[in-house]
Amino acid sequence: MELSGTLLAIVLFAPLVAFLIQILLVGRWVRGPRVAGAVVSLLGVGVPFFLVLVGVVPHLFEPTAVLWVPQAPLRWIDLGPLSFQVGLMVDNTTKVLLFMVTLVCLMIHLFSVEYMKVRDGEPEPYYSRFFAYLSLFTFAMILLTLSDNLLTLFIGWELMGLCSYLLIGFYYERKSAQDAAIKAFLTTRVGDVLLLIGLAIVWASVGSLRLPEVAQGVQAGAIKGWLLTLAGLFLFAGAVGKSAQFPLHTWLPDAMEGPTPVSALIHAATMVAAGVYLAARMLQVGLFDERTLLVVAYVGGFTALFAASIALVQTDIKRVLAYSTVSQLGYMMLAVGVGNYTAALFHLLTHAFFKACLFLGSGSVIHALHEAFHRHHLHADAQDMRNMGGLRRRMPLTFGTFLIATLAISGIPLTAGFLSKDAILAGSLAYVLEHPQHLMLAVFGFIAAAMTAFYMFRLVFWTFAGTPGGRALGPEADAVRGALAEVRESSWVMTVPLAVLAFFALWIFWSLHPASEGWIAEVLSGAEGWLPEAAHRAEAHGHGPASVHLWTMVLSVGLALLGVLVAALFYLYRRWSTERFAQGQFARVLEAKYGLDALYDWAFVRNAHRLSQWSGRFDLRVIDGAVNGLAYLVVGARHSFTWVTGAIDRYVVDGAVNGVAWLLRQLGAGFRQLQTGYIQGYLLVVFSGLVALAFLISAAFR
Amino acid sequence: MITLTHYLAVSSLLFVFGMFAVLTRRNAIAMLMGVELILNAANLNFVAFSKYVLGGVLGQVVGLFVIVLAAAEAAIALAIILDIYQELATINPDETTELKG
Repeated sequence: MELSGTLLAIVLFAPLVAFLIQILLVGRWVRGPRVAGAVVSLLGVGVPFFLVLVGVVPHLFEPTAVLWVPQAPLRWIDLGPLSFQVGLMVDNTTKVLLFMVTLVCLMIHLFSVEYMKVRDGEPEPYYSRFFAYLSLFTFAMILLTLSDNLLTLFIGWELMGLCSYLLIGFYYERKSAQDAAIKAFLTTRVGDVLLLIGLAIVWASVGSLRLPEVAQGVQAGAIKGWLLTLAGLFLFAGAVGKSAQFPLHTWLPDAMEGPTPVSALIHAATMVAAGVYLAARMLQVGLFDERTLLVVAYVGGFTALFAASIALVQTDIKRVLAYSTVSQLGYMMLAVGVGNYTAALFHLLTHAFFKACLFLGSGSVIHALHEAFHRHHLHADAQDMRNMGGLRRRMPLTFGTFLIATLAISGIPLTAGFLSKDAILAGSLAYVLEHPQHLMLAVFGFIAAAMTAFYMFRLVFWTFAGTPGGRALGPEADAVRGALAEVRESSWVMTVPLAVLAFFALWIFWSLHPASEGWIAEVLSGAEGWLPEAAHRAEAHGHGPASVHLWTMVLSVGLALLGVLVAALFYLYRRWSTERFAQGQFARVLEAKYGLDALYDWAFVRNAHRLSQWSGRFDLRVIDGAVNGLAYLVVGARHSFTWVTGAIDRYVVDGAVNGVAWLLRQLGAGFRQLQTGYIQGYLLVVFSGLVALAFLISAAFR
Repeated sequence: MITLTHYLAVSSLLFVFGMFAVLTRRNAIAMLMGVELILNAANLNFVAFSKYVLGGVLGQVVGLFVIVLAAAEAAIALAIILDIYQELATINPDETTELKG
């Protein structure tokens, strides 16, 4: 199929149409089965996926990198000298991202059909609204990837912020969900504002926000020196907010308050991917200079390690996954920072698949447990891993797919995660060999790799291995064990997406050779036609010699296996006990998440409250006082002028008013004679006028 | 040979009859009939001028519009008359002078 603008427009707008149909029609005027809403949304994502499959994927290996840049881009906003042009662009990066986004979103939509049916034993009241938001989210992400300019990219970016707010706060009766939604919105907003400043700098110096023109502008030196660094840092700040990098990562774990498919959507295909995508794009067009890149690399590397260490002690299954997302995003930023955006995007893709699989798998578990607990009237937390255990036999399909995804995220060979993580680590190792003073970057990456394997297998062992409810605490522990024995595998609507996503977590789709990047590296690192030649230099280093690859492989696999082994000794075979560690100071620091949440609460939230209280008091005392005082003054002044104004009022003003009234009454008395109330009298006047008119006209034309 | 003048003569007659009915009848419905005659007089003019002067079908099209309009007008006017009858128990235009100034 030809790759045309029409096709891209359908891909882009189908989810938006689905959203509009749902929000405006379904449930209000269209009274059909509740599934109707889901079908609309499935079509809204399914159609784009199908079109991408037949229209974009066949063009993957075509030599021309830019497939469609509109000849006459839409002149969208035209304000005199300010004119923004927008268009759609498909290059190699976009092609693979589109495939990933539409497929993962489709799987998440399918999964939600079953998952969202029930809330606390009742049919979900806002079923179609949920799907409407999912569709809007998908639209925003597709808009972001297809944009050829930073303006519509920013619009998609902000739309995603809105959708994340709506979806995280979907269970809005819960206070914690409300708080999490507001936290996500505000925290990412910090980054967004900085991003907007960055865009303004780019606009002011280059004079355009279209990516090809920005790339040319940077090449021509329209923006350079510290201004370039400043713009790069501002733009990166946006990515830090969206991709939940240190220090703006705190919203992502709290975002777990949303329904699990939302977590999968935010963590895999859309929201957090946007930040990495932006960073990779900025690297491509050259807005990240050496200084910015160093910051990017350190923030990314540090985040990878930092988040992995917090994940070690979490007990909520979704929170472990959330911190692992933060950590994996740190990897991607690290790859961007060392100039290896191919690896960053590769990991973005594979991570989207296996993280979506992990989240949906945990969703499947939570769903099953929720149902079982509900049947037994238990109030146990269906997300707490201590209430799980031994689910391997009860939910074999979920377990199998979950295990594949876990192997992938841990970087065990024969998985997609191994390929992409290896590429990142090799890139950072090569960078360190060139710049020995930045040794820490590689160290961050490798230690985080071992930690990842450890906490992910801890999760698997706690959830799926051992005896059911073996770690359950509290008075309901026995009842929990009884309920766990009745847990059933989820229906095919939920397991099919898991299987599809697990397939993409294997190596085979990405590369026939299980130990080297396959076609994907070729596609991603291929010259993008719209970029100036020199821009590809950044890509040149970041690969390093072949021996680096070998060493990376040995090291990363060794560390990952070490992590698995330690986790097995702790939690599977129980050779070692975690008690001493759990009582130590370090564990407490980790459980407090290094105190950052508390710090933000203390520094920003409480002060904001204090500020609003203070301004409330200011309002009450100073401003209200001033207004009342003014009123008092006016009242006093009025009394002294009463007699003057009274006289003027009576004689001049009243006289004029009465005079006008008298005049009008006389006029009315005359005119009322005409209004007889006899219709035929009026008609007689009308026809007389007509006859007169006829005479006049015929006289004029004689 | 029928010429334009013949048509105009007929339509003028129709118009005058209609006008007469509207001005003199003591029944609102009969007045309405007069209005219909006037409209049809105008229709006849449209068609005739279209045939003899303009050519084409513009006049006929306008004629069709007028017919539709007349239908709508009759519906509304009858509804109004019905309402007046319910309110005042008469449809004699001489007795419905509520709006006298």
